[in-house]
Amino acid sequence: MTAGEDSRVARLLRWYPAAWRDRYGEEYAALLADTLAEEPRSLRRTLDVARHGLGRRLALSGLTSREVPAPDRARTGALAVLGAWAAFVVAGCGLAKYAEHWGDHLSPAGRHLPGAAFGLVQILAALASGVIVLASLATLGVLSSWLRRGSWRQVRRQLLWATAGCLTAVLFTAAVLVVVHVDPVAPPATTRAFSPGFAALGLAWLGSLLFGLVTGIRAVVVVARRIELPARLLRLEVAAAGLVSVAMTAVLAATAFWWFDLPSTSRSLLEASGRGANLADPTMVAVLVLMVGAVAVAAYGAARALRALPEVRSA
Amino acid sequence: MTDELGDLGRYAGPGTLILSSLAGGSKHGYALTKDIEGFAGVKLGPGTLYGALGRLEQQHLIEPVESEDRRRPYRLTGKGATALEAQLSAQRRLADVGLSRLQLAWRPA
Repeated sequence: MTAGEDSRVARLLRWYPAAWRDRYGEEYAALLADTLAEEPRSLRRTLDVARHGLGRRLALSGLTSREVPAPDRARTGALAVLGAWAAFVVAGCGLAKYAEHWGDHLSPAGRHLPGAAFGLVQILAALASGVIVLASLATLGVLSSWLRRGSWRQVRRQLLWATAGCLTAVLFTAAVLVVVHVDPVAPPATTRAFSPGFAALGLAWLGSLLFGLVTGIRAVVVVARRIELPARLLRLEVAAAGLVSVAMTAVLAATAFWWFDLPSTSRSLLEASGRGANLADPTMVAVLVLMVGAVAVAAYGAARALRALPEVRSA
Repeated sequence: MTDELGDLGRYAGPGTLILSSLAGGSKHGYALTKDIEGFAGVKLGPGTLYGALGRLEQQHLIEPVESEDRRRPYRLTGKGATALEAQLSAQRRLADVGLSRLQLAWRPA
């Protein structure tokens, strides 16, 4: 086998989880080498390997099968809710930006119901964030004793990436704040959005937030999967995941209500986009699609975690 | 249908092909794909093949054979032979019914 084929086999193998590679890796590599020699390039083969590799990853994480012990299934379900919450936060930022000047466009007669819906969105989002913070704080004791044992070396790479992600997000946020509030030569607010420099900075800021969020969540997931949580603490985490999932569903419902009510209560906000009173604004469509996807993942993760709980109790 | 067939579930397709191939003797992954391609005209991708092999092994329908080579062969177990026989008999009954009805109702004029 040539060096190129060797590295392609290694790349294909990486789709599978380590536990699976320990059992089947060598013989599977031999099969891949044989098929590569017969047909060097094949998109169908790559997709086949990727699909089954990801399937094995999901199954061995406990998200799609019962092959792993109940505590692992409960933990993975709760982590899925956390990941979904991160995506939900991104959607929430989009919603907050879109609704920034919504109050100015609201007709006094139609203020009550959409106002209540938007208020509910904010209250539930704050409550869910509080639940996540409390659930994280509850694990601090176990986490610190795990770190004191020197186990942080196992996750050094992920922690470094998360630190880099966090610092990047802070730096770009500071840069945006300076340009908006301090820089005397910054363009005025009305023309700023159309300035190429400001748009580039805005995109870079969004990218840095995403980078920070993804690396941070990845570090949390990698650490959480290595820590042994006592059954009582695991039950608490699963309960928190269930609460967050319910709050996310309610936020989605309230957001959808608020959005579909816009044409009758704050028509001028829709018209400000230059597309008339059309509800299909790209920002809000993206926000709602992301919210629906996140709620689906959270509901699935919470259901998996809750279903595993009775077995955790008896363990 | 036997319980073993029920266990094959939605993987009955590649599972039956692999069991049929192993009924002719033990084979490793690449030999299995070539054999199946030869007798069924179906080219199983590496992921599909090993997905089915893993499940069949978990259900004790096949087992790995010790090998010096990286290419590990698999062979049919007694339980696997029973499951395959039941599966193929069910398929034959289905084929017989379909063919006989075709001959009765769709005989060329």
